[in-house]
Amino acid sequence: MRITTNTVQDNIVSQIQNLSTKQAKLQTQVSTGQRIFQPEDDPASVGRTLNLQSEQRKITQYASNATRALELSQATFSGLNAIKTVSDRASEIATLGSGALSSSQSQAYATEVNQLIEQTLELANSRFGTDYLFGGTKLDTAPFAATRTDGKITAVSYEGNSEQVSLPLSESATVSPTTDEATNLSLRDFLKNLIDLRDSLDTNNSSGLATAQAALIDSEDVLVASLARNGGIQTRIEAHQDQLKDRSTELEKLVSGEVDVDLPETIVKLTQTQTAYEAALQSSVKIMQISLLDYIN
Amino acid sequence: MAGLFATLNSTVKAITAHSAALETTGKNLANVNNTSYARQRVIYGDRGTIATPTGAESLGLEALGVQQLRDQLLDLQVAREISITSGYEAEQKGYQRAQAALGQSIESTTTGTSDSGIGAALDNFFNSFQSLAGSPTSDGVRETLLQNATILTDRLQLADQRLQQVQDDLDTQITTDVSTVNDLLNTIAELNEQISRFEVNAAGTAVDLRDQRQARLEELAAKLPVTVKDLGDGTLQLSAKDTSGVSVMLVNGATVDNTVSFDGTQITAGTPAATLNLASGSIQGSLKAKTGAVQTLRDNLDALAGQLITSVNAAYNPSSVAGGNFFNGTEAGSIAVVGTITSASLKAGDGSASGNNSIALAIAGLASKTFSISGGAAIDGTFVGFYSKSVASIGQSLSAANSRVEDQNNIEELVRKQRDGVSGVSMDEELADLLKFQRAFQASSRVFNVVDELLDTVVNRLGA
Repeated sequence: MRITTNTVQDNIVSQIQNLSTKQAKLQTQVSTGQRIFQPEDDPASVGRTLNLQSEQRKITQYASNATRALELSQATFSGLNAIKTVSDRASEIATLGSGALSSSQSQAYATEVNQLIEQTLELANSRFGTDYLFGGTKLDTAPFAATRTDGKITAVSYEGNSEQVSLPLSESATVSPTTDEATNLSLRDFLKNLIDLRDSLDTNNSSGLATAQAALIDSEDVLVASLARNGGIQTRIEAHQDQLKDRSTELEKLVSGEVDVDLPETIVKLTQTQTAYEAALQSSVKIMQISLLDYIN
Repeated sequence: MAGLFATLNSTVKAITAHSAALETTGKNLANVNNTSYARQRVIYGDRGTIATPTGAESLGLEALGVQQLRDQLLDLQVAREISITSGYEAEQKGYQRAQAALGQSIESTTTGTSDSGIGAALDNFFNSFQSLAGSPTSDGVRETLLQNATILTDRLQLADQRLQQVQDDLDTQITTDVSTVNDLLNTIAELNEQISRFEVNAAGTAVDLRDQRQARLEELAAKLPVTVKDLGDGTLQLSAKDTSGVSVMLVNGATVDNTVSFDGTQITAGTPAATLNLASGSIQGSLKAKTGAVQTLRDNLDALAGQLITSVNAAYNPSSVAGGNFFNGTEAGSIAVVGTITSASLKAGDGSASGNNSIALAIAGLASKTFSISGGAAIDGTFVGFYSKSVASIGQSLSAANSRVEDQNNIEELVRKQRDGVSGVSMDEELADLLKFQRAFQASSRVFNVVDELLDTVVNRLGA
């Protein structure tokens, strides 16, 4: 084939251009550690990566849901636990009161129980942030309303509802970190039992005291069961957190597999391209310099 | 034998012929970088033969004319390949701009999951509803949710506007190309006329005009593919096929029969206007990009936004209360959060209790919901899945266009090389010719000298 001056030059230019494009691309890949940037680089991989990254965001959200659920359940636990302490003391007083007591002793106990009632009401109406913990999903109303006579609590009613706050921990699992309605109602009953205990002590009524003592034991059982359930929920949330962490690590690996560059391989390729580029430049300089013009005069 | 004067005469002719050859070589050298130039050669010929008593005798050499080295088939092929290349390139450019308009790039794991693009906005939107479900009374969470919703609608709207702009720009490009095509048709018709006038007596001699016409033909081919027919008198006939396969005459010799025009969707020519069936050229490439992958991407975004509006509204406003929706609008260009929704009025649940999060959970659940077109939805798969597919699809179109352009460039280069092999100027070759013609010139001058000396002898010395 006849080679013309333009053919030679066009060849050189296009070869150098090809090589420098390739070189620039490899250089970017090496310096960023990233294989794909735009959808055109590897459309299928970009599609997969977008899905994986979306999955990652979802996992991050589930993780923060789990944190929130754990906080709620821990707050619930500490509330219930404090009430349990009150209940312990109340049972103690009930046992002490069942012995022979003078009316002044009995009234002193009644005064202490009255304090316990106030304390329990406060605990039962405890809040996490601005939200009431023991009222179902009625977060903005105090769940236990007290009726007072001469400043003393005589009755307590439940103002919350039967719903339970629930949070998704994954596509399929949800968790209710706060107490259910039965527990909430048992708190009301516990208050009622405390009132009965106080009134019995106040009047030194031994048969009323015995009834109150038995009722207190019942409501303590419910409290203990709730605490156990709450512990179970926390364990479940923590298990989910571990699972989410594993999934997140797994996803990171997958994304990395799609997006990240195989560094050793790319560096080798870059070196090869550089060599080719240098060779192209050197040889073209030699070819372009030579012309018949140099040899005739 | 012819007389000395006759020899002197033929030597002059030879010298003239060699000068012409030298001049042509000079012209070839001067055009070494002119890609539309075809190298030229002086054709030598005999001035004639006469009968003399000593037999037939040549009158000597003369330059008959200048010939252009062109292969018409290769010229046509080059024009065809240029047409295909520029078609692919125009398409590629359209897709590149669509990809940029979409603005969805990939960031590496080392820099963390990026928050750019519609994909991230979709996730953040749905995740905000999960946060709302977790803290239905938190003002901060509500603010964040509304912000994320606005970011999502903004990104959808912006992408739609940009893609619309890409399509408008492609229209402008096509309009400009069409007017260039019509200018070129006129220029080619004028060149046809000039060539036919110059070549009345000697076909193929208007070499420079032919160079010009070939260059214009190649420019034309880059915009619009035409069928070229040589009419034999140095002029060309250009035509294009319409969609029913009928040829529409564009240029017939010296006259432009029909011009082309763009009606917004198609390229037409002739009266009555017939839609041209274009297979290559930048006009076809731009049209293809505009109505092809760019439009598909817009349709996909519209479907995505449409489904988002329908599903979120159905979950947010289950009893279809007037004015109770979350999103306004119907498609990507018009999607917006209803203006009356504030962080305080945003509904997390059915309103029965402040902690009820049924609505937030329902909307958050939409993120994982799989839709199907056969089931009456506007999209197939999940929201993010459908979006990823749409991004992959425009990426696929662009990636395919990239490799088509690369392959086609190689083909065009090959054909150009072949043509250069025939028509291109080689500097070394011309320099060799230069020496050759110089020597020939010197030799003829030497003969002239000798004959002159002989004449001197005859005229001045004989009989003295």
